[in-house]
Amino acid sequence: MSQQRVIITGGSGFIGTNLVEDRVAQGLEVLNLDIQAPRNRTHQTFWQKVDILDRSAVIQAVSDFKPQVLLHFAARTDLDEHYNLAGYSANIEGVCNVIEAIRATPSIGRVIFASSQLVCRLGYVPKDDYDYNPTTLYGQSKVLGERIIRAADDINAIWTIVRPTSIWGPWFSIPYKNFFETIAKNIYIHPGNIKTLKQWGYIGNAIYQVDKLINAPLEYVHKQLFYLADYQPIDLRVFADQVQKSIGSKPIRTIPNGLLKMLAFIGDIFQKLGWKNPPLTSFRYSNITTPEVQDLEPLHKVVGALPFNTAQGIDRTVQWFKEYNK
Amino acid sequence: MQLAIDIIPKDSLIVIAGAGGFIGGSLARYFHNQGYTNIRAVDRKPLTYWFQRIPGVECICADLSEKENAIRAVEGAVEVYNLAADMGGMGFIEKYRIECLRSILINTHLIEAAYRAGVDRYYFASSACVYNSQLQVDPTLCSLKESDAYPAMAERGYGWEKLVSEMFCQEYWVERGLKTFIPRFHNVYGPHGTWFGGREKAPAALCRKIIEAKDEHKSEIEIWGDGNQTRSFMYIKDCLLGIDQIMHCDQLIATPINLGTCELVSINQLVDYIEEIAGSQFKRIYKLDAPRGVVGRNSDNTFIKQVLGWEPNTPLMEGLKTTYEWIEQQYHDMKMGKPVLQDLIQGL
Repeated sequence: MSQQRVIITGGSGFIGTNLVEDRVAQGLEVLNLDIQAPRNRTHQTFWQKVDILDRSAVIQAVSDFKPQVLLHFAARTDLDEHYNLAGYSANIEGVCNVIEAIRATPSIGRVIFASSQLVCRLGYVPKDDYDYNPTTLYGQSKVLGERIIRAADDINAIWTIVRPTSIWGPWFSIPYKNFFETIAKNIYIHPGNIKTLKQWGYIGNAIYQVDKLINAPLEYVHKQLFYLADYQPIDLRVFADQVQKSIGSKPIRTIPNGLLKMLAFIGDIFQKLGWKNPPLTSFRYSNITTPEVQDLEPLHKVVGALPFNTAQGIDRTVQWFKEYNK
Repeated sequence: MQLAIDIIPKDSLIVIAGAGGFIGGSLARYFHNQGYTNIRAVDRKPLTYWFQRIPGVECICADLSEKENAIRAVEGAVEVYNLAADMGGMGFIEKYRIECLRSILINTHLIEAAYRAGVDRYYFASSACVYNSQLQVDPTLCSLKESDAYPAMAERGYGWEKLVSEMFCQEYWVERGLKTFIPRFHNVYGPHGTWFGGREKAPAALCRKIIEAKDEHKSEIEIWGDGNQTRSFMYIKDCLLGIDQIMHCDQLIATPINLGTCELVSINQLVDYIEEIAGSQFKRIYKLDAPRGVVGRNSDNTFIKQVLGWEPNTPLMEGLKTTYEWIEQQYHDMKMGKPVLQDLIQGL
């Protein structure tokens, strides 16, 4: 199947930037539809400023470009909204608009829709693809997005939904960028005596997985859902120590879990008083200490072995930090 | 007769809960058309699924059965209209009693929040479902006056929720001095109402069935029940004018009042009317085991006429005609593959 032309929505975001880079490197023609300018300035030429909520603009841009592949990664991804779900319209109406654009563009043969692991509360392993359990408005918006996709059963393209997990690597931002930064600044602390297995995913592997999904035979991927992550979960402590070694910062200290909980509680109070991002809150504490392990076997079967191990990923990320922060 | 425009400035914040629905959305448009510039529309449904979205109206998608959301929704409001509820026609009400009952949370939080926020007036949309069901067993002698809600024997889910919420409204006035207004809606119909999917009410459902049968060259349509059950139906335009009048009539504080027409028709007559509009007739297949609600129900309008000197008065035939045309348009749009509800949104 010819895949010469690719549209990436949200190509200025973290995963999107990496997708753009990878597709361009493969010699494909890339168009990035994003409301924001690319975070990688060398990507300026691939960018067209489009608001995903502007239906006619989305349809126009997609149908004019006539891509064979569409990767929908545009979304509002912060968790700040607690009141008005309409704040996440990009994740709901945005999906509707992309679907309309796909309907209007017969050249599109393959589509990947990015959802999120937060369609379920952290630590919960869903029973099936339709078992939703969101605890945030962001998660709710992603549930609606998935439902909208599944309801659009008339589209001709082969489509797949992916739920990225804890993806990290070059061009990332909060929360995992902060994680690396706090380790570099020697202010990261291990919670004592807690083992927290997490489903980490190095961005280089995630991009590889997306690529394999696009090229897989349709019976493996059409209307399927996959979590995106490296296959083996890693204990947070082990991961943090690896990052620390690669950066060359001081060994990470451990403090008793109870004390950390208290710090989180104090953080909550500061947050209530109006400090937007205290270093630790109960929400983050629970993120740190809640194991997050998903079944990656279905993805493994389709994609096979990954190109990077964790150490390589960390080294590349640290390298990026150095170059990027010059 | 006193209306909003007579007493509240055009920049007053009006909050409409349930504005993604049929009546709430129409009410937002009604106030917007009158020049109100500060309308906050709230609904749990994602914006995509709102029946109407009006440019210049603040749209909030929030679940008001949660206290925090209710508090934020009414911040700074002068008037609050609570039309938010999980509801539908008989097919919905009889099947999903828990959902209907849970709407009690919306009013409970919203009225408390409204009281604390110091709003001037609070409106709660009650329903004819509060009436004692034993008084609704005769298809002809079924005019319900306001006092007929007690002794209480309301419809088990939806009706009881409305009845208890009415009581909240009355006590917030008695104990705390919040001006509350409590109309009891009798079947409202009109353009922009639900017309398919399971929550639609009789007039819209029958219009759709006839439009469908006509389009697919079928000779028969299905009727829920034996067709002899009677109702009165109020056109949306009357409903909106009624809401405005009741909300601004101090004589009606904390006083439940019927808001409906007294033009009683049987479902069979309703079908006759729609067939006349459609210009074709169909064989009626009566589905006797389908949900059909009470045998007969009409609105006794003595009280509203006495207080307001007015009652809903759009003739059924006239309102049905507009509604039929609107649904026919929607039906054909949908058939053409146009996303019907989203079209409404995009057209704005």
